[in-house]
Amino acid sequence: MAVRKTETRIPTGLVASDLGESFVAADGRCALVSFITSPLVVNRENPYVVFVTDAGLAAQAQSFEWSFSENGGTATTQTTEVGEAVYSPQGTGSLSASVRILDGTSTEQASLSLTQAMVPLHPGLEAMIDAAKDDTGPSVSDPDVARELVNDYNIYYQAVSPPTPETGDAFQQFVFSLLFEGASKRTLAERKQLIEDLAGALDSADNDDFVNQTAEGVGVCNIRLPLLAMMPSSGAPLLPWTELPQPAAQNEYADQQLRQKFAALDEATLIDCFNLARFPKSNITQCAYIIGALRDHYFAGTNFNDVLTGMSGTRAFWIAMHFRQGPLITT
Amino acid sequence: MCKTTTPPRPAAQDAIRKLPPNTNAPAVIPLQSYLAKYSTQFVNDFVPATPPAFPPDLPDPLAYKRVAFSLLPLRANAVSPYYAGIFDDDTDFSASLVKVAVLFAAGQLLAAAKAAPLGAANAASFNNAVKVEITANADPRVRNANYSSSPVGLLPKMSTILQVSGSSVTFTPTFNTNLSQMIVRSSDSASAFCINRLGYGYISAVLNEKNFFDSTLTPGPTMTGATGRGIWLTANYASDFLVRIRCVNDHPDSQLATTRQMCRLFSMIRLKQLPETDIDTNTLMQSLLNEPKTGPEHTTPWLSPNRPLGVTPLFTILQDKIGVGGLGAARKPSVYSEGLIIKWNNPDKPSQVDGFNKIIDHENSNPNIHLSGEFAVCWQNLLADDLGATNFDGIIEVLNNSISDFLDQKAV
Repeated sequence: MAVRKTETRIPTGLVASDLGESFVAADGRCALVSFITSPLVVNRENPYVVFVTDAGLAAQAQSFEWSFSENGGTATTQTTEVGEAVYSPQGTGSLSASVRILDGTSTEQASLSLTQAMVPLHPGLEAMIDAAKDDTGPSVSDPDVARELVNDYNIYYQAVSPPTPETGDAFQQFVFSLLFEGASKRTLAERKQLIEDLAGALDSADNDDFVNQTAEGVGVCNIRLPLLAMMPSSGAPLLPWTELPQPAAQNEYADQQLRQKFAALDEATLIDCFNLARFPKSNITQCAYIIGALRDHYFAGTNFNDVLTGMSGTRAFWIAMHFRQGPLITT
Repeated sequence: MCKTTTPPRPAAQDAIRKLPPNTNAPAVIPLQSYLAKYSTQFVNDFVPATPPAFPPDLPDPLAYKRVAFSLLPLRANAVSPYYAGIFDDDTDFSASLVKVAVLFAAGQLLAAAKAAPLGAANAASFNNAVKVEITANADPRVRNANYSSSPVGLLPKMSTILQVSGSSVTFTPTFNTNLSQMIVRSSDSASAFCINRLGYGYISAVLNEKNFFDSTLTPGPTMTGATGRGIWLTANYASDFLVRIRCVNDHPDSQLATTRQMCRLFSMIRLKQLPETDIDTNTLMQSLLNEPKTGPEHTTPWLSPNRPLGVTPLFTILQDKIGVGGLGAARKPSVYSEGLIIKWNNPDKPSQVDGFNKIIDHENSNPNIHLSGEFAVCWQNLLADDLGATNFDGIIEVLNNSISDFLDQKAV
């Protein structure tokens, strides 16, 4: 199988490291991206994706041979038809993850590798989870989600910043709340399945299927792709600003029309939006950008501390609603 | 549409958000566990059973019990993730130990000057850049102080600190001599000379830039009602105490540190990370901190085997700066402090560090995570004069036992 369309291009204006921990080939023809940035955590699944951005290499590539070696030991190998594999570390120490891009005769055309550390579950979080068992007050509401976020995406959500500098960490709190909500809404397996389905629809250029799949938010923050296209973090909007009615039935209909407009964009744009939402690092970054843009649009001049605490949190409520279902008509 | 809820952000969720990222450290029993164990076991050896009379202006008469420790095992080219600390975020009066911050500031200034274009025509622009840096980064309490009767200014007096000769920039000979005496002899007059020329504004700015001081935090985790935690210097070790801020063990004061930040400062100098871009200046700084110091009136580490000790240190001291000074307006009793780089050197177990490295890297495939055997250490707030003749034994016991058990990964 040739390289899937979704792995032929890094989103415009970004580099591989904007998507996750990465290694780019010296000749720039391909890049390996790890969803999680080292250290990985024992028994936690980490997806790897190979981008083959060179058309010639992409035409030659027929399969991908992956090998994962822990602490210099015997490597676990697997071959995939598409440029994606998943590995769960078995012990602590050092992991060497590598992939060979093979042609139709299983001859290596390129290879990429990453060295990553493997560590136990975050001890601070585990202590909190243990302590919460006997707590009567606020506690760790969903240990599995907390483990995913803290162990896998910590440095991603710690890095977000508001569009204009402000004191305090209200913006980070807000983004984290949406991230937590997104991760709680669908399991990792469900999110992964949706990404697979979207990649399949893009690869087969099945427009109807793609429109249907985009009804759901994508990735760990549950970002709706048309919303992302309306508010790209760089460059001009890919879709015109379109507000949707609030009543559920009208909203659903308007959203479907919006998704059809989105699906009619050129293929490269769709792939870029898909990849931005696909990788946790860029997903969280884009979520933060959209939250900032929604604040600027609806509550310009209000800092995020006021968004969260002023007016009993009404502004935060509305920004979250715009993020989930909108942007919404508010008059 | 009715309002249902704001995004979920209960206290527990925010506590989760604030957890630091996972470290690259493989699973080991943390050094913190051993430090907690031995700082409890040997508490009677470093906290006097009967404290001396304290001056009435101290904020907490029980603060003498908060003897602070920080231990940071080092790798060859980086810090390790095995840091441990007790009362390590208490901002305490730490007397002459804080002179290391002056050394740091001087090094930063020299490195910045070396990186700037040379020539008299560029002197004004460099001075202006430093002024902008101070305006941007110095603590407002330092920037807005009244300097009219202070021998120390806000800005550096450049021509008395730096000289340009051909294509090189160096400290002036007089400044260099005083810098050396400030560290090697812990001379107060030499310290005043250096501080008067560097200026409080520049010292504050560079301490803030490298996060050795945080103006948003309280002076200690248990102290409220004021802000400012870390290394703070607004006195010149002569007669000037320009800005006093609150601290844990003393009345509002001007020569303050937490062991966490002082330990970090020592580690960064040792690892050639300060100044970042000037290895020659780093070498100069390290040479002044090196042990044994030589020359007239040189200081001797508090933990030196040459002092009357009842316990043999299981380490050699590679670098050191000591501190001692009196509390309160009455300036007594005295608190002792010390920052060190030590090399683990247990004669009974010469391969302890190698043994630990095998635990964390049993295949010897990842040498960059190995410990080098060096540790950055800082302790402070010790009433050593009230602990008898072998008054540093308690500190040594804590270091010896905590580090030895950690390297052996003994059951706690």
